[in-house]
Amino acid sequence: MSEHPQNIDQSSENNDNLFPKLSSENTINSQPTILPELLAPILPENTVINNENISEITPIDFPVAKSITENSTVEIINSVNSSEQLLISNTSEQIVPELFENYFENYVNQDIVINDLVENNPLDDWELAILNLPNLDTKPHDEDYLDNSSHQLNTGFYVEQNTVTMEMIYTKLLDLESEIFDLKKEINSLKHSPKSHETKTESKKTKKPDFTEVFNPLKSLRENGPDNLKNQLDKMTNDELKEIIRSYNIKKAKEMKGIDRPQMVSDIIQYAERELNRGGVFLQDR
Amino acid sequence: MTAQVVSLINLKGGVAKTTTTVQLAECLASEFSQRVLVIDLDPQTNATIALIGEDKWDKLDRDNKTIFQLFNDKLEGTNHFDINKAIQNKASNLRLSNLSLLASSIRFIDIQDRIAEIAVKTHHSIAPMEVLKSAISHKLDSYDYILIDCPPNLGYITQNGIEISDYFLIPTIPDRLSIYGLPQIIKNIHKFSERRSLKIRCLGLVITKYSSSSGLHSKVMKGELAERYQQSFADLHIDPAPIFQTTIPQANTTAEAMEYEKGPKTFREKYGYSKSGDLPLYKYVVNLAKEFIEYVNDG
Repeated sequence: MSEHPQNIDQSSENNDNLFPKLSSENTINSQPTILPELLAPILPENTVINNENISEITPIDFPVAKSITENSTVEIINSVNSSEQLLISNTSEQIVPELFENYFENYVNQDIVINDLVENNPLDDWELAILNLPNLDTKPHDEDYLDNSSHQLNTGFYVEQNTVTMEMIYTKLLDLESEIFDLKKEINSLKHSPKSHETKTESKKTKKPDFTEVFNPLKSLRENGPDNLKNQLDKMTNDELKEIIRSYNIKKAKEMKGIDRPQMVSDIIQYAERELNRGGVFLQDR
Repeated sequence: MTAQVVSLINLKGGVAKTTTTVQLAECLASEFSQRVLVIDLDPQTNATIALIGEDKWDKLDRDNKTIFQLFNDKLEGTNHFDINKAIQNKASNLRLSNLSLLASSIRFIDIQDRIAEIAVKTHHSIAPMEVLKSAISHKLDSYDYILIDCPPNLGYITQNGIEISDYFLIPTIPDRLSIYGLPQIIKNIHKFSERRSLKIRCLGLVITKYSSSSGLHSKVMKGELAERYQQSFADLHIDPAPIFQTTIPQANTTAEAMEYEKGPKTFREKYGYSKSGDLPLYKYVVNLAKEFIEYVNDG
């Protein structure tokens, strides 16, 4: 980052607070700062950034180009100042550095006066602050803070000792755009999902297990024989045996009263044997 | 059909032998409708207090209806003990008609070092390790399972349990001190059973008081425990017994379940619905009992 202007009090006790609440008297002075690192990641290696070669830079890929080419970003940027040129190509997934340059230059020599809008909003609430940017008053700047060697590439606002750079605003815009994109997706998915009144809510009570899925005595008898079926039943609790009898309708509910464990085991084995042999007499006759 | 007799043994105290005995007994009786007899051979009398409470135990003790009297009769040449009167039906505060108890007594401590004298006192008609067998053998048909809570040693009292057991089960906490004596338990019982021509075999090892947040428990369970346990069988050239898949978690509810006076209505209420890991606490006991039945049936 470039050095702060001389009028910034670095020893202020608010120094640790990056984004102090602003009063209506606060003034943001637009002025370029040297930010070669802003463009460095998106420029080819060994590119010397100066006035001469900046206009020759060709559009190159930008890592987050996909999300920032959404129309919503462009709209937000337009809403900041409708007279600004677009920073981003609306049709390609690229950033055009020349447009960046023009955009930043337009902020040079301008003051942005924080109005009532920002007064009641802490400045660390950047989303709110940026959303309200169109309400910021701008006026020409008559002081020359410019470093002429770099002003084509960088700009920034100075709020007392805190710098509000275009990079920060731009990053926030990207975040906002991403959020809007996600919201749109969510709204679309809600539009196409079944209506809420058709969705049944799960009962808070624990669902009783369906023992026809957990244990099949007929299958056990067929695959493992009667001894194994009995061994399996011996390992089941009384409640589990009752559930099997209930699930397979082996006995009626009123017949279950007072039934003891040996009887339950016997009933289940008999049921399994009966089901396994169903149709056996028919086959024997033929 | 004769009962399956299982002694719960560990040389170390405080590894939940009594708790596991009571848990299994109550679970087998209430959830599986099995006829269960608990024999409390431990002079500390904890299983007795957990199953019938202090007041009832005190009355039994005064009426000579504890296991102490059985041994004392042999030492003193008296005949006060009556097994039929000593066995208490409807033990447990769950009021289970199919759970019975042969109670212990703290007075057992006074005579435990004199048990060796029984052979001489009975003119060698009863060996010191056969006292329990002489009293209980005709009762074996009355139960599906007999669980014996043994003291933390392999002395004559424990040998009385081993003498009538089909299996021994080792409850242990997965820490170094608790598993230290594993090879000694398995080796000594094996040698004892060979010497006495017994049929007893190891049913398995149950991990108790497991704390999932304890790094030591996890480490011991994954490494030393299984290694030490399996090696004990390998050294004796016998088939290894399983480590139960069900581990009983450390929980206040489990300790509180041993309070007879609490008076819960059901097994589930007694052992708790609160979850430890994925399961409610009572379910661990049910799963332990299921494995217990499986291994006994397979044996």
